[in-house]
Amino acid sequence: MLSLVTTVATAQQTGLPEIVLDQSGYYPKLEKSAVVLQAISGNHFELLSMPDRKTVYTGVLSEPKATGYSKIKTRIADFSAFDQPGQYIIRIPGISESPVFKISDNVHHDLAVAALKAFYYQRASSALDVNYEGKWNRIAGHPDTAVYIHPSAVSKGRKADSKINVSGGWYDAGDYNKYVVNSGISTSTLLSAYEDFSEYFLGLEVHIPHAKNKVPDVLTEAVYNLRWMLKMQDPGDGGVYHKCTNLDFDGMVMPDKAISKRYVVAKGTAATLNLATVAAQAYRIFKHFPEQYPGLADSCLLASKKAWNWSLNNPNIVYDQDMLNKMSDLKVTTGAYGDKDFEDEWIWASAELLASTGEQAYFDAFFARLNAPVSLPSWSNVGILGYYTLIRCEGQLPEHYKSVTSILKKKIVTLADRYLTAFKTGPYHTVIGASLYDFAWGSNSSAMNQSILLINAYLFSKKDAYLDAAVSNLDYILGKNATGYSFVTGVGYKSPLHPHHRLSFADGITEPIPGLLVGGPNREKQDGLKYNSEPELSYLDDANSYASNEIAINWNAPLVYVANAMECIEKGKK
Amino acid sequence: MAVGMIMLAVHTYALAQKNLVVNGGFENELDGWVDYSAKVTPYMYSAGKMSSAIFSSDSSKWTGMHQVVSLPKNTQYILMSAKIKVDGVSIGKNAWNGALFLFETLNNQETKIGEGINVASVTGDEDWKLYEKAYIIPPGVTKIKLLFALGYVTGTMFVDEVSLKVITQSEFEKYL
Repeated sequence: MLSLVTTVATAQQTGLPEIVLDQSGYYPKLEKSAVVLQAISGNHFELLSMPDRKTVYTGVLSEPKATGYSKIKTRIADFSAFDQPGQYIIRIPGISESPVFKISDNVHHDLAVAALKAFYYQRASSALDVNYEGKWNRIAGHPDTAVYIHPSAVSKGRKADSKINVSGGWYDAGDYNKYVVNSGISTSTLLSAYEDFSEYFLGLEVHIPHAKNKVPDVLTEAVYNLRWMLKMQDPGDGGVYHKCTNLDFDGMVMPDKAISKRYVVAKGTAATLNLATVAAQAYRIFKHFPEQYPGLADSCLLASKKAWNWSLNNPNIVYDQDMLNKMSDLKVTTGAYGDKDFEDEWIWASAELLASTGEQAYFDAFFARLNAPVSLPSWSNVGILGYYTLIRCEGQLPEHYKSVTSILKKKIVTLADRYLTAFKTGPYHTVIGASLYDFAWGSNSSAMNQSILLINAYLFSKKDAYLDAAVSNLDYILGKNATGYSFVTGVGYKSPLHPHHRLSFADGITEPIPGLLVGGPNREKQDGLKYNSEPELSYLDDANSYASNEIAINWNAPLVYVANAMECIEKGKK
Repeated sequence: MAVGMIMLAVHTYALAQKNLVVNGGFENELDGWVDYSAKVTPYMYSAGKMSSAIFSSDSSKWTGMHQVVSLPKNTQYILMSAKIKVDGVSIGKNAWNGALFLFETLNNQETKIGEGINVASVTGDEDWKLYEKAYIIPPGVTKIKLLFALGYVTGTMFVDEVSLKVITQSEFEKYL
């Protein structure tokens, strides 16, 4: 009894919600569960249909689960066995009823569209039309048509303070700079979503400007950033500038008011291999659109090979911002995206070039690194993305290279099975949150990348359990978490209103730009703000909380993949 | 033609089975091994009648033995293994210090490619235990250097049943 009282007191102090669930809703045939965060004495829950409030399902709550890293205890209300579409609430004696939620086909359609359209809102150098942006329309900023060559980026033919055109591309995150390494994984993730679910994307419209040219919107949007990435390559030698940036971050103002001098900074191996990778993948896709994008595919392949060759000649050029700042008066203090280990970039680039060309040299480069372990991708750890690609393109690989994919599948399944265990035993009945270490910077993107891995495992194994685990993380970011927030702006009944995002902060509109995934709980709290001490509650809906409430293209891209993949798979189109 | 294919298959199978390590059981003293302090002993072994013993009382030294194994042409997958027993092996300054089983990849000129890779690092007391490592041979690697050593620790290390075999991809996948 004493422990029960103590638990309740803790819950009240932390302001925990009582029942948390996916605020967008659930697919009829997949995993469905809610999490109870308050101590209760009973063991049963009811599902009531709405608005008639009839009991349609009664279930048994799980035993209390301890997280192992916090004082919070959870109980799972699993109603996966109930599959009737409709609107419902969960009722448990002694605590408040849950909000209304739905079970339905296409339950994540709006999310899938919003997450992709968010990239349109992130476009630099572009005015956004009221017909497409509605109240979030804006005039153009950062034309980037005359960007200065930083002293670190000088090369034969491009002197310091000369100017080049690197217009376009997406703003990286809450700031207005553009970073090639983060663009790489983001653009590729959108392209991979298309490659994995191409038929589905042919029918998906997200209301962005296009020429009605039968190009899927996901590709129209990806091309906007791809063209920028191509401009970041020095045509003289094939090397790629690390970023297009101010010297310092802009203030919290609209793009047209942010008029600091812009630079391209230092070429590096990571940036160059990122372009080699994305351009190789783009070649494979856009060669099927010769009328809409004449010459683009060939340009991409040429750029990719030039970038590869530059990297062979410059295999270890690290972007070290601190060191560069010691060598120049033009000190750069914006995001570093420094990476010292390029083995994963080599894996990824060689895989994409192998998939696109079938050439021996790329197979050799890939095979040479096959002993390396792979893990969940992030901007600095991209090796497994190459695995996804070679499995996806297995049918197009030369016969003598195909067998290697069974090794790749086995490595992916090893990780997927680990996630499956986390899902089955975890305190939130999700993959994310099984470990304290899940709650790091950009934790929500880890959740989405875990889901992508599980979806890839499903695509080649057809094991339904992987889908259940994948969708559980979507439930997590849409509200089935300790904070009770849906972490996607504009989605759900409680979502972030104050993301660390200049466009949303400075536009004078109450609602933030929709479809943006914020970073999420981050126990490291690098922004120095005061958060709840529990790891899974270490989130603040505060514009100053760049450590938990910023948005970023490499976080939204996996959300695009997962939401659209689930919509496609659930429709049975695949 | 069919006979030729059968012979090729038999040859590949034979290669897949053959232990490419010379005198991996130390029954012929240290024949085949480059020894810079190891001794064979008949008093402790895992199989046969002998094993190799490496002893060190100086933790500032690397004490051990090695053998360079040539790989058949176009080898893609190998399995390396050894039985190791340790007595009183101290803990070194670095985490990797200990009774070590490691290997290096070499090209035709016996130049090392990349860093050495640790298969086992054992400290304290431990009875005979099998250590294995399945490995994909990167293009350009033609030889493997197997090393056993007390790396900057004191104590005694016994080594027996050292093996390096070419394996098939499906056999390799069992170790993933």
